[in-house]
Amino acid sequence: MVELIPTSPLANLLPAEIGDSNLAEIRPAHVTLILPRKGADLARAMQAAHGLKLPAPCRSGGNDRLRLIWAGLGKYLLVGVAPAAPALSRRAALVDQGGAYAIMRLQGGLATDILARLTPIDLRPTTFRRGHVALSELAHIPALILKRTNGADIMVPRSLAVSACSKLLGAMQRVNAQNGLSAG
Amino acid sequence: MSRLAQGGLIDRTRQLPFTFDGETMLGLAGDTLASALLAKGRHLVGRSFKYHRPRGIMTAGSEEPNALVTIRRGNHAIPNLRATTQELYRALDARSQNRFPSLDFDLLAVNDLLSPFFGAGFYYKTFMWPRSFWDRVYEPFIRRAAGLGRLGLEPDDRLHDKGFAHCDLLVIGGGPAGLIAALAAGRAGLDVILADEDFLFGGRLNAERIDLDDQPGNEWAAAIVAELRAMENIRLMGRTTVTGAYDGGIYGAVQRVADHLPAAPADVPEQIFWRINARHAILATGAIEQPIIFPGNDRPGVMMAGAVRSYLNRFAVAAGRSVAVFANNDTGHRTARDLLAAGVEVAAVIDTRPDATPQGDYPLLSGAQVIATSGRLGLREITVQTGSGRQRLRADCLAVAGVWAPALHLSCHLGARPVWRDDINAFVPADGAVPGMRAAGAVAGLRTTRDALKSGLAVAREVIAEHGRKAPRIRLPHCSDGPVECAPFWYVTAGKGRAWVDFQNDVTAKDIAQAHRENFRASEHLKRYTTLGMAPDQGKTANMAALAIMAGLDGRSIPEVGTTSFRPPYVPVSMAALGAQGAGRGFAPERLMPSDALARKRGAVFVELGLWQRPAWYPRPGETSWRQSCDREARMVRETVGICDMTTLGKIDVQGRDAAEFLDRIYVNNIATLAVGRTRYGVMLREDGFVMDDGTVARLGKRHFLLTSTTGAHDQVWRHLTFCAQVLWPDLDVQPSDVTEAWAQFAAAGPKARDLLHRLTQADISNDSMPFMSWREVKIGKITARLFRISYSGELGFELAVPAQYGPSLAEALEESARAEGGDWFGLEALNVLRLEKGFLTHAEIDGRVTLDDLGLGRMMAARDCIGKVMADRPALRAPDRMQLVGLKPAGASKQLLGGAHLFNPGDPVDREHDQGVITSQCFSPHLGHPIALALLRGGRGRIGEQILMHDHLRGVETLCAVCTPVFLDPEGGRMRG
Repeated sequence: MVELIPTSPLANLLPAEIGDSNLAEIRPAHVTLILPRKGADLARAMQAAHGLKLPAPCRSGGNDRLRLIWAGLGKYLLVGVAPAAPALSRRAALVDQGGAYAIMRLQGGLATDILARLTPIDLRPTTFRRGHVALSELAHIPALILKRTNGADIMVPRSLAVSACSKLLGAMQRVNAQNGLSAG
Repeated sequence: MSRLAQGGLIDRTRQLPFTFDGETMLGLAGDTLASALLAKGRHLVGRSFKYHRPRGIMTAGSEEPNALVTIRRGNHAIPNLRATTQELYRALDARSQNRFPSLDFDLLAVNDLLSPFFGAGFYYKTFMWPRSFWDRVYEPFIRRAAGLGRLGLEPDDRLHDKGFAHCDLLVIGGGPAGLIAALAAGRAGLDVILADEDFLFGGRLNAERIDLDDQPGNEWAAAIVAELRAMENIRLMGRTTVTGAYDGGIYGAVQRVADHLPAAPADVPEQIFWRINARHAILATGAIEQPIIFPGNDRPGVMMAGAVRSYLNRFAVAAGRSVAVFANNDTGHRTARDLLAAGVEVAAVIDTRPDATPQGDYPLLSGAQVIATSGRLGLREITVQTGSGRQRLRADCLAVAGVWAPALHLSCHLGARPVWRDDINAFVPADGAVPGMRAAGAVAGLRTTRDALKSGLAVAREVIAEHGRKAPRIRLPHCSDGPVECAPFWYVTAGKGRAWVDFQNDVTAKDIAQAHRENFRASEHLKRYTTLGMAPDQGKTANMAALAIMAGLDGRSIPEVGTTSFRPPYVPVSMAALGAQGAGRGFAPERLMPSDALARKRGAVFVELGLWQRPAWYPRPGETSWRQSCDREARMVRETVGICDMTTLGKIDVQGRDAAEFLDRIYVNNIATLAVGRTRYGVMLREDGFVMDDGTVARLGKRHFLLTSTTGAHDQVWRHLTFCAQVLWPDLDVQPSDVTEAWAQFAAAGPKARDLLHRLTQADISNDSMPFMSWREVKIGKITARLFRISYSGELGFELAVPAQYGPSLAEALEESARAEGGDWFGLEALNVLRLEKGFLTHAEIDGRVTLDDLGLGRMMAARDCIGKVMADRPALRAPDRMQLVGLKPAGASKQLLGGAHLFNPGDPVDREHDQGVITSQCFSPHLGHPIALALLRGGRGRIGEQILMHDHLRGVETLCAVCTPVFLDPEGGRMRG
């Protein structure tokens, strides 16, 4: 009998380091889309089950192990651990999206400049702060961008992961090379 | 004409060799190509567009009409660069344009001799007849003669980029007003972008001898720039031209990253096109000096006085050995004083104002005008008309000091018209022309450095206040320049010979007079009739004088004649920069299926569907045409088993207490009655009653459904469902989610499909426990998969779905199992054949214009209401002669059926009036041995058994067809149910 193994479309591309920037794939054990049922008090259940508040629009909460991300109107992504059913499933539809996303972590001093070549959102540190979330595009690819201290996590649909990754690598190269130019 | 021994903002320790038309010269770091050429005594740098007149450097900025050059070679050649803005670099290789064989001797200068025939309107009048000559004679000839520089014929493979920037305040222009505004906003804590098109911030402070608080202007500017550079909230963008103002505080800008380098280092883009999102903007673009128009004013050596001062003060270059100045204002005298201070001879200052008095030690001719010039390829002598007669003066450079017109172009980009001010003889930006934008400095009509600084600070304070911040205290420096008196003198009427107005498009004062005679008197008519202002420089040095001449011809004022509109871009922008990141596949990312790597390994031929890359067929050794592969794959499915990656199908998970009700309102057929564990074919309509999409609905649980949508229509369907849930029926408890990317899904179809699956799972999938249109969970090893008994081929069929991360692994397992059963992959072409033989639909049939009934599915409509039901009941949508879905088979000698070909009754004319329908899809059926097609035919269902003529107007093919039912194979469906 056959045993299936999980694979990533980015396995051959990442991690990559260009100058001070690096791009790596993050593969959390679980990614679950949580859609609150009408009238259900999901906030309390979430607090009790995972110790997390429901994030406001364009925000996220949690830590590196476990993060709850606002993902649109009435949508949250729980990343890292499996949702505590049945406490949550009584109050929300839980939809496994473990394979739906490729998640890339961009880090380095030039991360913001790199993203600014690909996404139209306002990335200024005063506007887009740690834990903030943007649903936007990355070079014509739908992307969820989660701000981190020294960079960002970028979630893109799995089928577009290779395209998104090559766009990011290209921007890393260009910004890094241009940075060398102005320094020299 | 030479480099002065001292002064200038150039680095005399860094000599840069460069070539112009093959001649090697030496320039200095800090030079532009124009200043380096002038330093070598070179005025003549190009030939004009129409008459091939010898032309020289006229300005020192991006408004330059004459000095266009080509740099670099081959497919990297960049034509039409302004020598006045091109920074000099080591080994710069520049060539003049629009001349043959050489700049000094140009054969097409014969056009100039024929100029009496080439006046305004020449093209419109001459090339009208005989009519047949246009395509074959006139156009090819004009095309050969026209144009400025030439592009390489190979694609330009240089790297360009685009980027997005955001700020509280965008300051456009780094002259005194822009610098002080940026400084104030920066100190107040705003995020500021300061963009200037020059490579040196400071604007005119670098070009004039103006002291600010006893400090030379350029040093004052450098000190401000140093402070700005140290602020984290300020982004200085030099070599960056803001090219357009758009809605919502968005500005376009081109940053020239590597144009000043011999070659861009690896991975460094040549240019970046920025989209700047700015809450506020300060327009501090300064002003552009306008020429006084007089006969012979295009002779190389005739320049703008402001440019002469730029070359003198910034680049330490004397533009002539003996310079005459022709002025209608005090800046002409400033020019003479600057020249004298640098030790350059001033032949005379010719001031049009009768009351002008000398402001230095130079000959002054008051109330005088230049009426002629001479010199073959460069100025030698000018003729001056004074109150007492004519006088000739020897000069190799004539500095023309005219009115300074605000560079207000960006303020017009949203459609606002500028406002005329009599006191300064100029248009200024209208208030509120661009929301959030304020003008400061010379562009706002201010004429002294002190006033420019004051206005820059004042508008910055307003912006700071709107951001709720406190404006810093900034003391304005004392400035050494005083007010400038200027007479509204635009053109000389005395003298003979042509007086040039638009240098770049070769439009003369006489052309304007002719336009006036022929009643093209409005500014927009004038522009189009004479081509004035239509060259790449958009008439930056031409429009004002042209309006003045037109105004003078019929006694109107300039504002009465009007002004032409300015549109983006402010300066020419290369397509490479505009299209950055869009070349090749850049504009269309690729969606890859789980089996992508496997298919590529197998040498599959791909086709793009949406953005999905799908294998069309999997060629085998010996197969020479796609048809061979396709026929084999289609037969394989009917005879053994085939597998196909179906991941591209849209998948939508719907949960909630009201999920069934929700879907009942969306699908035409009943969903609520579907049992758990079962699957149903469903169709949804648009609100207007036409079919939106079809697919399957599987009931995963009492309150849990999974829908599929067509690959190409998924986005529309998902948007529709989201809209329904969020907007139409927010009262329903329903939670739709798009799970397309979460599942990898494969079809296994064919008599041996069940055997194949038995190799992967031990689950009971017999016909009894898993009949047609059912689904169940099965274990593939440790992984829980969903298995659907559905068929798009008409064969015993399953679709197996696993979480997407297991997709590639499952693809390999399926391939191995399929081969063991004598099967293999099949591609999109074979899939199309299989579905056509069964009369199954795609969006070739569901083309947005068909109703449920047109497709023969009218009986699916449930009794209850659903989206589109009411509108589908409109009489026109129920008419008996609507186009209805039928099958077609060839019935005559010709067997060809062609997609898109139209249908006619045999004997009717094959024209639009007699059109009976269209072939939506066709293929060769390997099982029937002939082509088959689906078609939408007028009243089609009632015409089964009749004959119809297919006529393909494009390909010139006619085929007599028999109309038949759209199901060609196994109409009872025994194969897929068995």
